[in-house]
Amino acid sequence: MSAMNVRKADMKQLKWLVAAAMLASAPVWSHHSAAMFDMQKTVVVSGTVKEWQFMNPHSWLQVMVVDAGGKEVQWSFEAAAPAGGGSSPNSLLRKDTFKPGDKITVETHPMKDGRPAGILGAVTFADGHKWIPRQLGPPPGAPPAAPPSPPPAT
Amino acid sequence: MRRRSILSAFALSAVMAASTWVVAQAAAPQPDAKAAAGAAFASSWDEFQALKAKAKGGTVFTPMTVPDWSGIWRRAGNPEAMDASPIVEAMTPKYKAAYAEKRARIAKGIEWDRLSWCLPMGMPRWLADPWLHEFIVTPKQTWMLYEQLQEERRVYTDGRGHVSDAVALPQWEGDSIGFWDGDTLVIHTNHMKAGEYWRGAPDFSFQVSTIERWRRVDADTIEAQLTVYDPVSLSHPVHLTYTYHKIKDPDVRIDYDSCEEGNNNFRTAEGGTGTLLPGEPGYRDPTNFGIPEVAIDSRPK
Repeated sequence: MSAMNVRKADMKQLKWLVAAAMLASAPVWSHHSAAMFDMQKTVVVSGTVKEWQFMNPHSWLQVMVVDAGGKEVQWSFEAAAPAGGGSSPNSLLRKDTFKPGDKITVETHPMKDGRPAGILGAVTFADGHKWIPRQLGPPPGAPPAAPPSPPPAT
Repeated sequence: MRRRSILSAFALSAVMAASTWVVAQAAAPQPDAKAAAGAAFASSWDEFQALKAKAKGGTVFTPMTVPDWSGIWRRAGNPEAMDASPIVEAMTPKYKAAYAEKRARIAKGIEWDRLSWCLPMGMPRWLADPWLHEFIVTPKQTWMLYEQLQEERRVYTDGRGHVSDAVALPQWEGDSIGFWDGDTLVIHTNHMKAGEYWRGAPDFSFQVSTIERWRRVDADTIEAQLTVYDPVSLSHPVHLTYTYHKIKDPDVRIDYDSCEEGNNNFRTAEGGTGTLLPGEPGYRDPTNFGIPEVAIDSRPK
């Protein structure tokens, strides 16, 4: 991975990033509104994991990033929580999903106010493998939802 | 090139997952409110009594025959994507105007959810959000457990009535009594707090009361039909349907959900949602909040 950096997605990648990141992050349920995040904007941030805080009501990934001026900045990325089925060892979020020292690149919808934080989107590790946020939907293996029954006549 | 192929795969998987979610939502539409919601009854209590009379007082179960709803269940989909139109259509002018104002504020990015204070959802939002549910069914009580803030409900099916108005206070989950009509648990709930149906949805008043009909549709599906009465916010009852799928992963548990220790959200001056970041005044370190300082270094890695 190259030196840590922050940059806006270039035009070539933007159409994929916007479509994918919006779909990937929007349905993840949380205990607060997503209004503080700019869901129309995607930025890519590279850095080193400082701490993975896997907990309720939200998990946070703390990443140390060197900005364009060479200054080290801590970015905070909000993720889903153990609650909601996330505590399963088979879920996509685990307590060892990210480890201190991991070199990663994060796609994120950033805070509207410009502070160094955003929603945790797809993460690419140094070896090229990728972690993608889970979707809210029927649990794995669940059959398609049946039409609801009509209300009983009274 | 490699980057682009990864992104393409990411986009495709996201679209596939989103499609699944859309199908699930589309398969659970809200029935027509007027036709479904027992508009012939003056109150939810009248309808509940009629349902009970029709069930001849209710089905009596023993511990051996009571319906099996064991397991962990979760509602599919994002409640913010639910169709609010049956509610909006029935709303009184005051509440309709308040909802329009709420949506206008949300459109400007100004939104606050009381969950961000670590307050409960309460009824009837209890049915909407996709945290984990569990049902402990016995002949005389059904405990309806919920992961979010341990919002448990107790439904008494032993024939008792509601808590007396003289002592009842508005409660997050209200006061619930019920009976069994075959394999369907029919519940009447009153004494609830005012709130919203789900985040960003219309509001309802302290005068809300509900009828629920819960049934295990098949091995992997439980369905709840909700009829909402609220003479203050609704001109007629509204009917909503919620579907829950069984979580098959045996390692999923409903653990204690502590909201406070990791919550750095606050309500902004304009009424929106803010969050404190590490290093900012008032930031609460979620990893060690409430832990004795001497024990911090003993945390499992």
